[in-house]
Order: sequence, then C-alpha cells, then structure tokens
Amino acid sequence: MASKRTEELNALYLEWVAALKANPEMPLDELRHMFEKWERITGEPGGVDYIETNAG
Amino acid sequence: MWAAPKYCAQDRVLLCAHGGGYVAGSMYTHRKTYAHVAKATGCRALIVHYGRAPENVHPGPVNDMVRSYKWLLDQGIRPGHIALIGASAGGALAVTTILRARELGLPLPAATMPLSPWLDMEATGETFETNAAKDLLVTRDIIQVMGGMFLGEGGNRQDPLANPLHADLKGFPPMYIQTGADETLLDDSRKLADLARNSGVDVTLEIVPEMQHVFQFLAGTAPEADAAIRRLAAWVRPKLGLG
Repeated sequence: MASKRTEELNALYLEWVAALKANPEMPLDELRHMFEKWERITGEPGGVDYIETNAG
Repeated sequence: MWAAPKYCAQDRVLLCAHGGGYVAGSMYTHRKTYAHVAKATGCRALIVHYGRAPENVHPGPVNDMVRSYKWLLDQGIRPGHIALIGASAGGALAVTTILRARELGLPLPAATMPLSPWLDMEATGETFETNAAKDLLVTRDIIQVMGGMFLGEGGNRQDPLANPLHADLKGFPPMYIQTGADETLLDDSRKLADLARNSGVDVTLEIVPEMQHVFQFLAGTAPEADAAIRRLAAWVRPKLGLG
C-alpha cells in the first residue's frame, strides 16, 4: 500500500485537472505557472549548491 | 543549472531534462528531484532549461539538450562519465539526445535513465484505457494536445527524434527505465524496454506499484521516491566509474 506521503502528489494532480476542467482554454502563461508548483512537493536534499550557468 | 552536492565527484555528471509536456516545467521545478539523484550518486547534475513549445518546436528541445551535452564534453568531461536522466517529456529527451548525438558523430554517454517517459506521440498505448481510472493526471487528450504543440504544424508523430519508439537503438548505452504502475503512459515504458532489449541494449524496466506519473518528485518526503532514487543511484554509479 502506498505511503500517506504520496497523497501530496495525488492532491497536486487533482488540483491541476480541476483547474484545467474549469478553464479549458487556460492561457499558456497560467498553465506554466501552475506546473511550477511541481517543485513544492519535493524535499530539499540539503548540502547541495545550485549554480545557474550558460551551458551551450 | 548545476546542482552540486558537497564532496561529490566533480568530473561525473548527470545531464538532466525536465518534464512538462515540452510546454511547461523548468529547471526550477525539477532541480530538487535531480539534486536528490545526484547526491545519492555522488556526482553533479546539470539541469537543462531547454526552450519549450510552442516557442521552440521540435527538434528545438532535443537540439538544446545536445548543445548542453556537447558543452559538457567541451569542458573536459569524458562521455563515459556522463549519464542522462529525464522525466516525462524529459524521459524522451534522455533517449532522443543520444540519438541526435549519434547522428552528429559525438561519443555516447555512459547510461540513460528515463523516468515515466512520454515517448509515443500517437498515444497508442493500451494503458491509456486500462489505467484511466488510476492515473490522476495524464490522459490521451492531454498527450495529443501537447504533442501537437511540441511538433508544430505538419509535425511527424513518427519522427524518431520526437517519438523514439520508432528509432534504431542499436549501440545504445545501458538504460534504466523507472515508471509508476498506475500510469496511463506505462505502455510507453514497456515498448521502449522491448525495443531496447530487441536491439541488444542492456535495459532495466522497473515498474513501481501504485505510483503516479513522475512519483520521484516526492523525493525527500515519501519513502517510495527515496527508495526509487537509491535504486537509480546504485545502478548508475558503476556505469560512471564510481565505486
């Protein structure tokens, strides 16, 4: 049986589907903004530096 | 964006492609997930912010990924010290980047790890029906709309660089496909594994019970994701020459 914590992802996906159903012509910017919430369900690993760079 | 875990091997790199149907998602949405994989592996991750559709239609995203791969090689990173990883649409890019690199005559990376890959631009998988009641996000309609945006007007849904289920995978590096059992895209993973196996590729397909699309996003919060990432890391470490 899946752990209780997996419900966070389920809830996020249900929220997105409901938003798309309510607004089937959702503007692209709004859709992208909605998808940015994906990162909220991931725990910060700790001890990791993030450095933005121009990679080609 | 680099994700650099403390005390990691600087000369081993995961080249990472985010998901979001080629339309959404970013290096920011996926940075923590790939940082977890990099930390477990003991290497750095380079998370590519490729151009998205409809501004950057196919083959724009795969070309962006190849540019970043070539950039890594130009920095002196050996191809055998690079592994690709990608989720959803990024899972396809974890395959098509290698196809395009091969076309260009570049040396191939050590391994690739597609997570919940979306590959089939024609959305022919039976799991669109059999898992319809379980998958909370992905439907055939969504796939076809996003596929149309990605391919652009007149795009070919069977182009191997967009739909690697039509590709020749002979000579490909080892591949670890990890996906959720409840996904409508499950058949994409099965078909890729079959294609790779029939092409003589060293392929592992892991189907994790009761999991949704890109459940690895739950890294650091759900034990299923943490365990899955540990398995990815254990598989890829020797491929990168890490003990």
